[in-house]
Amino acid sequence: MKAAIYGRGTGILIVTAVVGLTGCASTATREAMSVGTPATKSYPYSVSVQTRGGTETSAMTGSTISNEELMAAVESSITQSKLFKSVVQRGNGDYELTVIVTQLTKPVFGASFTVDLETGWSLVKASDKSVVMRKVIKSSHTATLDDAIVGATRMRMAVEGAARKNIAQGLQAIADLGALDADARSERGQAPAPAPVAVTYPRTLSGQEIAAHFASYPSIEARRGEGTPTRQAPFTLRIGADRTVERSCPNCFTPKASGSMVVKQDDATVCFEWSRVPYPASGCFKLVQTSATDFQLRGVGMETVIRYSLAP
Amino acid sequence: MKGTALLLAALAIVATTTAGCAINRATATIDPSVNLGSLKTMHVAKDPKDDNGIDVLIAEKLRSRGYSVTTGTEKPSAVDAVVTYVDRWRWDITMYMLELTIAIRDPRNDYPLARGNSYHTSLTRKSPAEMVDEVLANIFREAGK
Repeated sequence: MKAAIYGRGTGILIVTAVVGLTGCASTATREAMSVGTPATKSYPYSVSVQTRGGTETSAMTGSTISNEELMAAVESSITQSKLFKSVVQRGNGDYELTVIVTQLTKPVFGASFTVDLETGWSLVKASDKSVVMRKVIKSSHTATLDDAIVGATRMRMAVEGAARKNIAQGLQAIADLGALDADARSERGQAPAPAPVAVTYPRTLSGQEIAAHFASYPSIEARRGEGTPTRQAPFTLRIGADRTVERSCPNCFTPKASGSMVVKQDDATVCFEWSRVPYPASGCFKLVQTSATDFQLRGVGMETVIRYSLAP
Repeated sequence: MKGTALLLAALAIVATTTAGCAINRATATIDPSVNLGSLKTMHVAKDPKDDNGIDVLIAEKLRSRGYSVTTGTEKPSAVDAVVTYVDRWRWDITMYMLELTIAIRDPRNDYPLARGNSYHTSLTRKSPAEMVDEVLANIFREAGK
């Protein structure tokens, strides 16, 4: 009798463990693939977006990128970055943007999952169907056991990270186009621009931009360092949907820590409150972009500076 | 007890390190601004890791569709398109091609003008020639829409 109860209990435990750890494969979501960083250009045109080459996630495929979610993520990223004046339905815009998923390479086994994504970005002027840009965008993202213990979740995070970086690079490629600048100036009756206008760094982000920034980058590899940054322990900052934050710092005395985060939009600051750990410092910070890829959280009323880099 | 613990540990390792299985699918995508009918010459870029002659199979299929096709690792100077491919293999009693992706690219910037993919697991496995045929047929069917 005891043996039967023991056997049944063991069976339930095994099933629970497998279901709990494996989970169900889920598609990469538009929220996690969207980019919130402001674009370095803002074009006075509307654009329509279509996506191709994506696949639907099923119980058997593992995490993939669907056309619908990718299109929503690209549209959301364009809106948030203000790269174009507006995003409109297919066929009604000044420009037509097509993003084709060419290759999504995923591992099937491992502790760290590295996903490689290749897409083709094509921008066509709607009025005369002239091709303004055709570009291959390649990106890669690794999700580790620190990101998620469940394999299916870790894979989805790797796919989403690769897609997010891919969208960021694609939008940057469009922002770098001289042809659209020339079009805009010509339509306004202005002379051609003498030279491209460089974005001025450092630039301090507004409260709204800070909120969008952290919404787009929920996991950030950072390092505190005012004077000798290379001597400070690197850490990973993870931002939860409910304003909770986690800090993973393998070389710290306390490797795992949690706390809360609040973006004070009126003050254009972000404030962290860590439980029981002094590193990387509780308090409020200004967010300063020092280059196209580099950011600094500069302490308000304290000397602390936290540095990190993001894919362009 | 020890056996149960080992079983649990093994299942946990499998669950945390794997991320899904496979299905059978065949898809093709064409850039809407591209006319594949305007292409005359193509070069199939041989994957240096390919020991199965997939480049030759692709070249033969394209020739049968009327294109002038070369193949090899050296990229020729003047062709209308470069064809690349990624083949993935698995073992189940014998080796079989699990997935084949073929991309027809603009030789100036590698932009994918068209892309096709076929994925067949062991029970519905196809020969490499059949996989090549299926992918290219889907691409040209999509282009003809």
